[in-house]
Amino acid sequence: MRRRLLAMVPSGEDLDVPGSINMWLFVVGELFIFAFYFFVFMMYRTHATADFVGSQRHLNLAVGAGNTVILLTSSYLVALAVQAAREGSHDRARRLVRWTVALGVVFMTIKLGEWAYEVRHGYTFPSDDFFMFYFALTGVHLFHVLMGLGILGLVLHELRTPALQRQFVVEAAGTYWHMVDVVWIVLFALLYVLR
Amino acid sequence: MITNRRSDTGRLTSVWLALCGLTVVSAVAAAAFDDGRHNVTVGLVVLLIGACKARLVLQEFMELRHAPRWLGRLTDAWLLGVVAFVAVMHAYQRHR
Amino acid sequence: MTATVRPAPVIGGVAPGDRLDLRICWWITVGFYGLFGVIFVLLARVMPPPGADLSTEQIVAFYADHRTTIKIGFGILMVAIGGAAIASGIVAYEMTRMSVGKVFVYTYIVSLSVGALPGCLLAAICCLTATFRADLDPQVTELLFDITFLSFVGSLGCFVANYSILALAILLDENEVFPKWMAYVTIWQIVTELLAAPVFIFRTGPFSWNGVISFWEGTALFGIYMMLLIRLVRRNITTPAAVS
Repeated sequence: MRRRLLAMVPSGEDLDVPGSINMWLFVVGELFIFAFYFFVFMMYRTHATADFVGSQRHLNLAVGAGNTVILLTSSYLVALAVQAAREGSHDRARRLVRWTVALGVVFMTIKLGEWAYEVRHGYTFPSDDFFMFYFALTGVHLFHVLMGLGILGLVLHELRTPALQRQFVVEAAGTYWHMVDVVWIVLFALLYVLR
Repeated sequence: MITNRRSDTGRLTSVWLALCGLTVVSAVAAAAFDDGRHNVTVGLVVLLIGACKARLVLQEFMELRHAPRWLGRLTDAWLLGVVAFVAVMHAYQRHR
Repeated sequence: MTATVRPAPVIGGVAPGDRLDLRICWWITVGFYGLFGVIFVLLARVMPPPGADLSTEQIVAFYADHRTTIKIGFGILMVAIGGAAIASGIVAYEMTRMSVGKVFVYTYIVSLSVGALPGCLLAAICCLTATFRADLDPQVTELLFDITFLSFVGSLGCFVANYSILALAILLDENEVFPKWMAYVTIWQIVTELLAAPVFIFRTGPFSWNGVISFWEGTALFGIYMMLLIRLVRRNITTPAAVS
């Protein structure tokens, strides 16, 4: 049994993944952790769908969609940055990563603005089940965005220092940032557009 | 080692545009059909759209196209599991 | 996991090989965590926590029903809590072997020292007070009950600091004392710790102190983390010193 389990652990060529296998372990783990949150959300939603949808209508769909586009664009830019770094154009890569960070900050600002708007209109964390999940899930996601900004800051440092400029760091940061994007795609679907 | 070609940038741009377009479509669909009668169908449609978006990011941005297949299959399994569960729970609520 | 584990390197003349003192500390650590599990799950019955929406009568009944085992369990903890210091110490020792500065070690030690209070001692003392003082006003009993679980499940700041510093140290460490993936497993603990914060607000649902997210998922992930950490320390202790 143990041998069969160990045989499933990837090794050798199987580890030739973009960036870093450790980062992929992290990213896949995060995807499964978030999947658990999605499951719990749907369990509660099924029992009180009308209430959930009613509360959901208080969210601004346009702002949510706009924020999604912003995050998607930031993902696009960091993917371009990875390519630029691969070609050796570290200056261009740095510029693209800076724009990624900028869009990440914009995303966070808009999210906080949304929160402020909802709180001011009386929809707070303990208001009802939908908003409990909304604030908790977008909050955890926002924490991941914050971590991502830290990681991208590290990448900027890497790209700026000729002695470093390690490709796997740039790629691993990209992998993480894309994970944040994928999670948001699902969150956007669950919280904003699923009616 | 993954090496890129000039055309990869074009591919990335196409993917990005598709992602943005899909986002707008799902938002418009949700808003337009929010009348209480088409919720399940529209819900399944936007879920499918979301799945396509996620898979595009996974395969194209995260370069799983070029990665060892076990990793691509693992993330596909994750996506399938999430979407299937949500779809079933969403469709199920209709009959309550 | 064994397939991808590499032997720890030697640094600064301190060999990770067979050291009797480390072996003793490791066994004490394992014994302590085992005892911790027995105390919290079987004796004191605070894991899994009882409901966060119990009435005052139900809370008084909880203490009445488990009076004896709480006294025994948490009484033992009062004496055995030193094991936590050793458990933290052995990991801190591993951190001294890293290439990063000592500030990481000090932060790790301090954050866990502080964490011992909300992490388990407050719960123990409140429960012991509730069970050793039988004629308490039910309102006071309820207060002790609330403090027990709000601190035990909801405590976070010191542990977030602890996990952050360990994760950062592992990632920056050039001596590969712990494998890089352990840093990421540690970061997962930060996320679950954050999602334990809402227990102060919600008395039912997934974010209450016995909720499926705030308690169950967090505890499951913590169990994995702790088992991996203990395993990695053992690997470092028992691997013969490499010649550099």
